[in-house]
Amino acid sequence: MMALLGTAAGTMLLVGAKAGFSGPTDQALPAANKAPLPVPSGSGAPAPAAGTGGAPPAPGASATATQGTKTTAPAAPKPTTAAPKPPRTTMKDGTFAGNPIYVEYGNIELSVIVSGGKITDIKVLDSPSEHSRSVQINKNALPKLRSEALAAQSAEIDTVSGATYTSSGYKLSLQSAIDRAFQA
Amino acid sequence: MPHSLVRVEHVMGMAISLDLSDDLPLPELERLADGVFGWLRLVDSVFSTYKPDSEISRLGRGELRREQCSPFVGEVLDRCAELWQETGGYFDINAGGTLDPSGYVKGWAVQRACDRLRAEGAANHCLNAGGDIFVSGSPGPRKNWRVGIRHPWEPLAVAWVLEVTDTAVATSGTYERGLHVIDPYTGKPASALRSVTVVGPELGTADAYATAALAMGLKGIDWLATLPGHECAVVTEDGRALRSDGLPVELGAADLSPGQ
Repeated sequence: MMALLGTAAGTMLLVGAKAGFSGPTDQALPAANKAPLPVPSGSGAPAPAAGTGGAPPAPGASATATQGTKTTAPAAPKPTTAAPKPPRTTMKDGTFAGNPIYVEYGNIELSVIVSGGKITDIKVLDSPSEHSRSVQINKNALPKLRSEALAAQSAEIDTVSGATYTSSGYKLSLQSAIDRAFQA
Repeated sequence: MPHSLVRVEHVMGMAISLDLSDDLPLPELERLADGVFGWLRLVDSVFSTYKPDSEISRLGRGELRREQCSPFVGEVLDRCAELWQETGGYFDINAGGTLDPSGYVKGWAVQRACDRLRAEGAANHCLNAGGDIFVSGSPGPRKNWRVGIRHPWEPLAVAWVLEVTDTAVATSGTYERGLHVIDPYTGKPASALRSVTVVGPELGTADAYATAALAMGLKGIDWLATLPGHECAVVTEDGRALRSDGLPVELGAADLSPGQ
């Protein structure tokens, strides 16, 4: 499994990798990361993906990784009741940059379609109007965010940053369970 | 076996976990932890918008003047005013219709607690308040703390792993509490970004920046890239993952043996 950097490390690029949270991400995330605990009921299903050919985001951990899967489909998450197994590291080194692409002004937004752990397509999208250059002060302020697949490894995690849980006891329990789950 | 202490308590409506990794006598570690959680409960009693009698609730209703509040209320409100300017108005403690500085208070309170721990000689610790974190010193065997950024669709997966210390990591997202961040310019919930993480020197500021970027929607991506001294990671609702080049992501992951 690989982490895929769908872009261009080019300076003036803001490139969006269509990471897709079903096929691609399930591919990229180590199988041992699959959620052994129930998905919290408050964890909303993602909005449907735009029709760009990417696999739709998976609504929660139990989603199957069938769409767009070409190779090395991971095993379905194995439900466990005990503490989750320590996450495993199965990725190769870091990220893989595509060839640099330079444009004179502004950004070009790419969609990288990842399937089966591989880039299968790269599309140029129209920039959304909200993505206006008007927020840019000057060249030095051009965005340098890079895009990449959500494919981190998680061995020996000390703690996890995330959106705040609500205060129900269930989620309090989940929070501490998550802390433990990520501690090696 | 060196001492260390991990304590999780439920304060301010969230789980707060403290990891003290200094090799101090256990009673001393307990005393330090008591101090941290006592402080956080004090902050909650003053700033909770869920408690009608809290100073912030009474201030919001006009029953108290600012000068009548605890000294740090003014400090918090001053900083929130600065953050309102720094974020182009997107971090707005009045966006919800009532005075609510919670988006800054949590990080500020954690930062204060960590600053105090360091002053008291416990420089090695991690304090995580509902996903907003400050890490200090070393966790013990390793030099840096390894902080996962939660995968916004999979509760037990991480999207990135940071190796950091003496650093704040704040994440705002829509995946736990729904669309709770209001774009103050439209009055509507912001939905384009699913998760925003900001890494910087001070947690209150990092948290406010993350919340502001979430409120901005897609243009928050560009805005984040302009913030000096801060790094960021973003996941959009349609599944794009982006990060700044300087984000301190772990290196050499492939060398870690599995299953440890």
